[in-house]
Amino acid sequence: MSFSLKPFLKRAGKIALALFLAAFILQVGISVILSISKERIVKQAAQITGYRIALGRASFSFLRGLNLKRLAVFYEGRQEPPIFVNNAFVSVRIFPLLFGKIALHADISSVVLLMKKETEGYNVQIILSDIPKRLNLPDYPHFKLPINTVTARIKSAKIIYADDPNLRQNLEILHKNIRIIFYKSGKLVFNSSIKFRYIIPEETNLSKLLASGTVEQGLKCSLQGTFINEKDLNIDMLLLSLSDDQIIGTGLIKDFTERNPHLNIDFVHSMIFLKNIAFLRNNFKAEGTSFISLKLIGPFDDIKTEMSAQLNECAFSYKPSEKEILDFKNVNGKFEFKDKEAKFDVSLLNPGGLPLNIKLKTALGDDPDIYLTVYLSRDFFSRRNIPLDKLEIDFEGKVKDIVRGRLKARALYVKKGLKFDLGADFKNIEFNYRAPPGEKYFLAKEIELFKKDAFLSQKLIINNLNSRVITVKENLAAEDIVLSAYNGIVGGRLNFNLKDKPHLTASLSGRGLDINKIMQDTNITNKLLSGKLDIKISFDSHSAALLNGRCFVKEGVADLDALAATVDLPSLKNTAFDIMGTYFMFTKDLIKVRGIKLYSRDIMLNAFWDIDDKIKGAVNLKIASLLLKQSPSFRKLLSLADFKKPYVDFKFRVGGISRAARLMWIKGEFKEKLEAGLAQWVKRSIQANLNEAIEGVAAKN
Amino acid sequence: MLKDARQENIDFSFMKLRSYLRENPKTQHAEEIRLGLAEYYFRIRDYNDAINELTRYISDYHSGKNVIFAYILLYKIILEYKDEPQLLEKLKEKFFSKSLFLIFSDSKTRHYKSVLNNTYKIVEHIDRTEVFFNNELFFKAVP
Repeated sequence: MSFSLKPFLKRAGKIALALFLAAFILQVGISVILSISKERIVKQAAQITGYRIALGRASFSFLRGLNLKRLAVFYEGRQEPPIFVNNAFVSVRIFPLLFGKIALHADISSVVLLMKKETEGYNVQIILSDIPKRLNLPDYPHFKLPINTVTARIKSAKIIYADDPNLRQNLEILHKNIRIIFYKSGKLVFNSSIKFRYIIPEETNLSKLLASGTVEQGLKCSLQGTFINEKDLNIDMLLLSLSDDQIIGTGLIKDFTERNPHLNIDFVHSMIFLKNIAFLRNNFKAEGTSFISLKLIGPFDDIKTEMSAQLNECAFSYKPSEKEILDFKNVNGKFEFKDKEAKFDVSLLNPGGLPLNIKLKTALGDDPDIYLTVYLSRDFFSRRNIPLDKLEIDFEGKVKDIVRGRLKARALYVKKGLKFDLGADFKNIEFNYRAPPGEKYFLAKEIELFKKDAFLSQKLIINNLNSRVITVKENLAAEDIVLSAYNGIVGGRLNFNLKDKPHLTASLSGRGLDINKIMQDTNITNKLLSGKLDIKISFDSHSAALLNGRCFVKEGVADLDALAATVDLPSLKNTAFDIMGTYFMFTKDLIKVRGIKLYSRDIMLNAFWDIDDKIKGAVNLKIASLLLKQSPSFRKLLSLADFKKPYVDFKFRVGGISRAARLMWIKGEFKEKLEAGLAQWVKRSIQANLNEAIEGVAAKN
Repeated sequence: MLKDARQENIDFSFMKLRSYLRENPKTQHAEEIRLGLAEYYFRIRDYNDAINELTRYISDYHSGKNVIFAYILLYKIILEYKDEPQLLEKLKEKFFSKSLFLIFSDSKTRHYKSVLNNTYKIVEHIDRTEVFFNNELFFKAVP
């Protein structure tokens, strides 16, 4: 008898077909039942889970399992569902079943999560923590299946933060190709590609500051964790990948299965290339590397981010306006972010190649306060033989289209072992830095300039400064400067070039300033009691003559008692004069008063000298004879000399040093007549008395 | 005692004065004698001892009316025999430390005769100070 396969195959085929038909009918039948019972199923599900559920469609297939379309879970009485699943297939894997294991699998096309903060935490987290707990209740024993693994594959998940209308509209967090595996042993694996996208609203300051109006960043996320105590998730590894850079973290999510888990995740010190951070690359052409450490800590609905970064030979480029580019190179230093506050502490080369140190502190938000300090290191000055120990600028205020706030500059100038503390305090400033180069302006409501040393404190108060500002590469110029000070008006210009050796030039002229108030503030002398000051000065930091100036006091009153005491005249405490003027020059080592003039009815003075340690000059003094005759001694001398002219000329040479001047009376008509008429012993006596008087004054001082 | 010392040979004067000072440390002439001793060291070119003596003298009599003459000797030693420009500048300031007002002459003169019979003359001009030692120009200082 020969064996034939054909009947066997024929029978097998018939059985298979029958099975297929049975399966198909069963599949269709289940689908129909599901369709018919949809409302009841949904109601039952709502009862079990405690949340209102909506379902678009349910069907079944042996190949892909239970298919749920447009599944929405609602939170309490809200209209919008926090969880929306577009299309999901839930199945039990067949292969593990052969080994007696149940592997549940969900294949989801897209999910939308609408995150909203409730009293106990985020709505989505509340729902996702509540449902499994309810399924575990004794009332629902049929849900207690011995599931070995649960896997989920989600093609895309969109997360929307609904609390803030701005975030809702402009922020998009998109997870793609999510894979989640949960093992019965308690292990959890999560992988996804994340795309973060935030469109900066046009009306905000940030959008005006940045070249790109969108902040976008893509990264890959990979997490491996283990559940401990069935509640807490220990993160064995959390890997964030930005292009080739990786940041690795570990930590704990306490109460992971509860309504408001608590995160404590630490990322180890990792090196990343700044060009891999899209925000920095697109807006600042950032280059260089940074060592970053990151910490996420806090409840899920209020996660605090702490970050620190060490910048290493970075470079940034910024365009404040269309025609300007600012390049910053050799940026090294530290960046910190904590409690919504960002701090920078860096050194860099500014666009002009000047090495600056910068400290910056600001907070998150659209209109934060900014604290900025810029200073040059002491090393910079000593290498260039600049006699400064410190140069620092501080700013405190806000930066929008216009910078507003307070600006302080401080310098410590060292000269022959003495330290001079120089400063300028600009209050209520305004600077429209983003305007095109020819349209910038700078305002300051009040400015205080001061100079202090161990012996003297001086200041000047200026109000309502207004000037045009022109910035071209490393050059800063202030043109058409106008300000008010001491009841007068001052105008001028200033230029500051930051390339190589900083070069400052300035010229100012003022009219009608109140000399008494100026003297009180500057402590130059208390002998000028009143008058209107006109002044003209020019400054050039590269010139041997640093500062040149002339000033005139008109229609004033001076205290000339010192002169009166010297020549034994009655008090000249309130001597009115028509004009008093002085020409002066400051070099690095020398204060040169080229001339001082005083014209009044009775006294005319014209003097000039150089002062550093050495004095060299001359004094020409003309005093009215009538005034001199008020002194008994001079009355006698004038009579003895038979001097009848209306004015007596006194000419002196000046010498010695600044602490101990020497004067010599040069020959003139009055002196000649006096010498001729006086006996030698009288002359010697006069000289001796004068020497005694000088010794007495010196001893007192 | 001082009168005798002035008339004697300089070496014998020195020995007498030193011995006298040792026996009478609180004598009213101590200041003069000590300056004289320093002067002796200078005259015999023992500049190290001269400097030591002058430094002690200046420290003890810094507000005395004759301390300027100690500065003169010290200045001369540094000027001629030591290379210390900064010290020299500091010492020079001492010769311009007082103000001056010249009315009928173009200088002010001051004399001193030491215990060893040496004469000093300081002539202060408007722009310089000249020092004479035994009527010879010792040095000229300009500020």
